Amino acid sequence: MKSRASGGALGAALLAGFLALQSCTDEVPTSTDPALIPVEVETFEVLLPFGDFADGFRIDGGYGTPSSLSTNRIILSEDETFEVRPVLRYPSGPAVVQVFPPGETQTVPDSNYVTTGGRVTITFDTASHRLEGLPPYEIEAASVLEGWHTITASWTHAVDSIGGVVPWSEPGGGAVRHLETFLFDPSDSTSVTFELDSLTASEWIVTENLARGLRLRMTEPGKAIRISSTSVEYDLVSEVDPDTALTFSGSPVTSASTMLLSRPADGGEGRMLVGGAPSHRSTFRFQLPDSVDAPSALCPGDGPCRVEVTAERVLFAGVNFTTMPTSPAALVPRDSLILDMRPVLAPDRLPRSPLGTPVLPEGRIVGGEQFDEDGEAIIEIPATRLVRDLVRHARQGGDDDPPPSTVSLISAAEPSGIGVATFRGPGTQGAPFLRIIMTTSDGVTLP
Amino acid sequence: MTDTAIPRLSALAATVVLAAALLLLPTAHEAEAQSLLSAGGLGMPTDAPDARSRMLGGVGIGMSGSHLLPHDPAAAGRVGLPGISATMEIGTETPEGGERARRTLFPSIGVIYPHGGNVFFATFSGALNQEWEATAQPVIDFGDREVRALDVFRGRGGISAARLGMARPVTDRISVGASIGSHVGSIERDFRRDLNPSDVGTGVEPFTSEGIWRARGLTAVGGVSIDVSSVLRVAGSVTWSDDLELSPSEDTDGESLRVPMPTELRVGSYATVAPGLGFALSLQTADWTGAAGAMGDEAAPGRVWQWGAGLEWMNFSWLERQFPVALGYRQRDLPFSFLGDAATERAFTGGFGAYLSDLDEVNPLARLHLGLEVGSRTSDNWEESFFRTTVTLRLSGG
Repeated sequence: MKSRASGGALGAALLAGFLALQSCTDEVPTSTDPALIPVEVETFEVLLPFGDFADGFRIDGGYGTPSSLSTNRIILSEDETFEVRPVLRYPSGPAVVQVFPPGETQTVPDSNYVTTGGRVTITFDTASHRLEGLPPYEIEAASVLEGWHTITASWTHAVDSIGGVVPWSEPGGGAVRHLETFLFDPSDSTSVTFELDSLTASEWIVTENLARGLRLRMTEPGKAIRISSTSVEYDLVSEVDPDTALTFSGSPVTSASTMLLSRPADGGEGRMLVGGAPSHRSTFRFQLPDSVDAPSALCPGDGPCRVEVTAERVLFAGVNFTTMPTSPAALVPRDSLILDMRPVLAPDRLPRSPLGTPVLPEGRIVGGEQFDEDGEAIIEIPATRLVRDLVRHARQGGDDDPPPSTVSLISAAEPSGIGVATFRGPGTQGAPFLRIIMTTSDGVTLP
Repeated sequence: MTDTAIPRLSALAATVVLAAALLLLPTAHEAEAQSLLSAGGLGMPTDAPDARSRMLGGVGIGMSGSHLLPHDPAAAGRVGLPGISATMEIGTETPEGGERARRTLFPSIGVIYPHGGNVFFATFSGALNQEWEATAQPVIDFGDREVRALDVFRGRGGISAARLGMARPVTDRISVGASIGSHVGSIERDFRRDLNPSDVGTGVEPFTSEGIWRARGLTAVGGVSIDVSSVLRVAGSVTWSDDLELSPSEDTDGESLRVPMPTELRVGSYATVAPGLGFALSLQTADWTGAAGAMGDEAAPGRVWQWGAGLEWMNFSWLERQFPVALGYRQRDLPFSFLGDAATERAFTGGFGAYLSDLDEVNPLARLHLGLEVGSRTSDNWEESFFRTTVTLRLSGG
């Protein structure tokens, strides 16, 4: 009796438990009949001109330096109004060299070696889309004779730092000593080598010599070429054993070279500049409206009406920029660049305000051709969350710090190249506009 | 240990195990999944809340023996031992040409305690359920281009009734009972629209809207059960409910909604038509006009009927245990319309019981019933089939 009763009851309980486990995966019956959805929803798109959603437009420049770029370009524009000259500082020579004295089997240090000459090798980027103008390219190589600072040197100044400002004796690298004028034809070779005289080599090998450097210049207009790499080789003769000839070679590190640009990209009225070296930033402040024009379907009667802008209603917001040709044309980006829009964390400290994290984490890749003569395009930077946050704070307030309403359009790396992205600025045809997609609804209700 | 202690121990152990199993079950609100027909009004009324009624096609009243049934309070007057009764169901719905959806419900649980000639009981049973989803893929015209969207609306909710009651036998043949309690639960609805990022751009956010309405309302049941003869029992009950008040939650816009709930009448009978062979017949009716009107359902049928009948063969045994088997049929109108049309549910029913341990004929210690239903729900524009398994476990102890 006992075993039957308890066994049966436990069996029943186990069955209930089993059924309980069976119940763990419910599926919701689903219909694709829209008539079953008892919610009226209207989704529409609104395009807000710049003046309706933003103000405080400004362009700032001077971010970064060409010396941080890994490649250098040599450019002379067709009209000869724009020029880029790279200035390269090669490594100095060693303090001592080890040589075998005559008849000895042990080396000794020799710090009084004599520099007798050397040679420079320059390899060019011969990818066709990076060459401008028809080959061959005539390039003048010259030795810089004035002290210069790799990070702050510019077309007009050899040094432009907090510690001092020293202009070149003449713009574009100051006085130089001509070394060589050579022709480079990509169909013949990818590199050029020319000899250094003993005077130049002996100047360049001295570490303390801040004037040492090679300046390159395109001599024919309408041509541009990019340097892939370069190196120097010094010929040395030992004082310990004059019959011992030595060579020492090295390549300039990135930070030991720069480019001198004869002038910046054209900015001014109606233009937004982004990127370049040094880089530009275009900045503006969101001033979003409380309401926008509603589509006629949402308006009672025939008259126009407005719809309040709330965070929940904004499904998408994107700032649209219209590209325009960069001037001078030599500054049209030759490669894709990544545009970034970042909140300005301290607008009152512009142009030195820190920036927040990108509005679009992966950035917006834009082809350089969009900024060419016939490359007009509209580039959209999605900013839905930022706009939602701004609207939410404007409507609801709260104790939290307001989200930053000022944003800067920048290139993701500053600088990413000397190429400048140019957009049509406020007040012009094609000025930036904000595209908002909104949805309105009375929401779910009973019945 | 005496013989009388044996069933006490087994029932106690089983009750503990059962309670643990029940705790593992989703609650009535979590586990509901229903036919798409539950999209109408307040949802789909919960059927008879126990497996034996369902296997006989019944509405949950007037069966032989002693029971704890939410809508047959008088049946509790014949219960002689404290106990617990719980029911769960697993089912599937398959719309014509659509995909099958599986669901689990937990229609009722009850506790009963005879004391001093009265029988006190508490029941918690499902009343109305909703769990459905509708999707649409509109194409939005922005003038210069089109944007694809995905709309998803989901309705879910469970309204249950929690009642406390008392029953007692008036004579050897007549028992009366009543219970009172409240409707509890909620109705939840949410809507979401997603725009296709490839049509709009990265970083597009969804539009969402949701609402929760808490349900409250007094409800009471009174009933009588009469053994007309040794082979015939008849029973009837009236379920009265005050207006169901649906109050929006703090985050939900809108006013409270009062939904008039119908008075439900149930009658049922069980006749022993031959030795070991019982015949059950029951009927239920309620006028849902007021509730449908409050929910904006203009096409609802108003008064609805449910009836069912079944045969039960009691003389089958296995392993020295009684295993009654049953077959039946039932039909009911659904109180709310679906896409503008009234719907009807029909089902062939069947199942078996397992009398695992009985103290005597009217004092079971451990019984399990398993009901099976195969049926369809149809309206002018909708047809779906369903299959449902219901298990009721009743455990008692001294």
